Amino acid sequence: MLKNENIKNNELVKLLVLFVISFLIIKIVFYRESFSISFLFVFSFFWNFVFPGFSLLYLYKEKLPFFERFIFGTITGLAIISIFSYYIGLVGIHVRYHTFFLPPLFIIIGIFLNYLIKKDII
Amino acid sequence: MFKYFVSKIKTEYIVLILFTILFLLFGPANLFNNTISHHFPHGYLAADSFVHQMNAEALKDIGNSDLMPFWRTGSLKYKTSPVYTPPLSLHLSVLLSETSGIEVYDTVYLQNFLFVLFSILALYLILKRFNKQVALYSLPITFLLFTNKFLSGFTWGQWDMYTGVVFLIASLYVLLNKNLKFWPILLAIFVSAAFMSHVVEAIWAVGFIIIYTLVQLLNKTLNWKTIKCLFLSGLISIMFTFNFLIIFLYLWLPGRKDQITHLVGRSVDSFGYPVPLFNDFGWLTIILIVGVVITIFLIRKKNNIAFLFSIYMFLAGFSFYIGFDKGAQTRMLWPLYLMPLFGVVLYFVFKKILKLKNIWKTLIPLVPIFLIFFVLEKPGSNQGIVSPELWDQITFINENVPDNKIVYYFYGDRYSQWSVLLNSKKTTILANTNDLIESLKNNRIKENYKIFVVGGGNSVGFERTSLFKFEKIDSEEENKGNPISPSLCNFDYFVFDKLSVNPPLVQYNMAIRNKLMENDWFEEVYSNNYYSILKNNNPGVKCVKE
Repeated sequence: MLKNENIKNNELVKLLVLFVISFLIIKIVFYRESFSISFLFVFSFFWNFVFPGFSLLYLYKEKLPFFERFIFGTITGLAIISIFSYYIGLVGIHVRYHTFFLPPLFIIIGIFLNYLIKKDII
Repeated sequence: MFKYFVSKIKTEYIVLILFTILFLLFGPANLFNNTISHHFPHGYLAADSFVHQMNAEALKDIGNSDLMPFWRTGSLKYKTSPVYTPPLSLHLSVLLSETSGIEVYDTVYLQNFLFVLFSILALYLILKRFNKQVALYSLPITFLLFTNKFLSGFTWGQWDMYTGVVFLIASLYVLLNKNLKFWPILLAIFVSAAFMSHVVEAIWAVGFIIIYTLVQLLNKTLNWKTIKCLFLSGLISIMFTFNFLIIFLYLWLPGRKDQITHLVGRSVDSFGYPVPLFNDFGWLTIILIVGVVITIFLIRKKNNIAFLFSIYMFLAGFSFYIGFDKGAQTRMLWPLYLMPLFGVVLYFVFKKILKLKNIWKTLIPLVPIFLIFFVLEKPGSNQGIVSPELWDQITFINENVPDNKIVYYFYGDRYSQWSVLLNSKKTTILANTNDLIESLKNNRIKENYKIFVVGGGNSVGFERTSLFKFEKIDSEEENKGNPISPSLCNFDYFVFDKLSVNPPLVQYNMAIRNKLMENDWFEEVYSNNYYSILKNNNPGVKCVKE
């Protein structure tokens, strides 16, 4: 359990480090842009796609290396968030609200899936 | 100290970070003048880019991808119509915009470069399963995405493709990892997302899955469980794409079938955009040809999926010769798809010539990366079609013209890319340039010019009457319910360009303007050195004495 906790905390740290690295890359590349816009852009990308996707693919932590889960987790986040945004919009919830509940929803789903795997339920 | 530092941070990641910085510096940073946010749409060079932008704006305003707003329909009669274009890239750009506060015209453009970057890193990771060195050497050729005809995919607005490709490549990754739990669901997510981003990439994905499965069958590595899982994945994909699949099959496809396939092939010059040729790779073409030859010997190796995919997408780029037009568009991404071919050649060259220790073996791919970065001509920052003055004019219309009024544009140099005018979010008419030229030649100012109502699409004039049915509202109606040459006296606002590369046409503009101003119910509501906007306070009253 302690080892799993260490793995989890270490991965959170790695994810935050990746966030900082991504921000630095964006700030270097778009050096004429303000600090706040650069930060908000990176935050928006991580909040909407990276965190939900990484959470969903966390159940593969024993089988896939961290960086692969980061890349393909982000792509999973891009796919799942946008597909659900499409359908939730059709149901009647305005797209301006999607960013408030879709990412946390899939982060929670990812945590829940991981819990079910740990308990050997699925 | 250096060894300690290196032991803590993988050298590979240093290479990837440097590559990412140089890649973004080479492409989007140059195009966007090293800024993310702009005061108006920056770097938009063709109509298609504004169509994508305004589809995203429509989504942001209305809140869903169900119906178009009135200013998007291209019809004076139909105030709405079903949305039929792939929705995912629009939702992604709006989510980015809403969270960050950055305008949609910036996020919808910039996201394409991030998706391509993720596609490159995804294909890198897939190729890395074969050999890490080959994967590292495959990176430099991707800089060509921002050169010559390859660049036009970004600047001319072929944007849905860049969203679709990231999911296409992700589906390869799933095929490589069929030992993962729930892999059919993951495959379904990626194929569905590809379909809802740009249908063509989903077609390539399904085609490759079939071919890869056949290869496994020939190699006797295919089992019934895999076939059942692929079938299950297909069913889940149908579930994910259900609504858009119906729209595609019953609304989009009937109106576009002839535009996608022909019984005979087309030449590269017959498309409305520059189609890349194989020799657009310049002197790198030789490396790619050698790469194709080497790959043939690697096809039967383990973890060969990246090479198989590379050859597959190379051949896909020729499919328009046998009738599938979208194959030409696929070539825009050849520098990405052909990465493995480039990488494998450089790997053999460096392996035979240089025998280096571990850390330097990883760092040496930086040499071609830096070489290509500094040697290739970088794309320049191009303001694009929109100028500050044009944006000011469009913004004035957006903020001051009521939604139920119609804006009538006469000649303007930039209006050949008519979709830029959608930015006003008002019903907009554009006078036909040829008709203006004919009238100018005849020295005549008319009341009735041929017109084009800005906007439109295959779904205009249709309504969804049931889940699977789209019917024309008026069975007899043609031309989206628009008159061909209505009296301009019926409209509310008129925009005249004062400056142009065609002076006779703007002089004619001014002559029409002055004619209208002879009526005391016309007033000028906006004027600067570039544009004049008149308001008609009595629409319907005769205003031109011919």
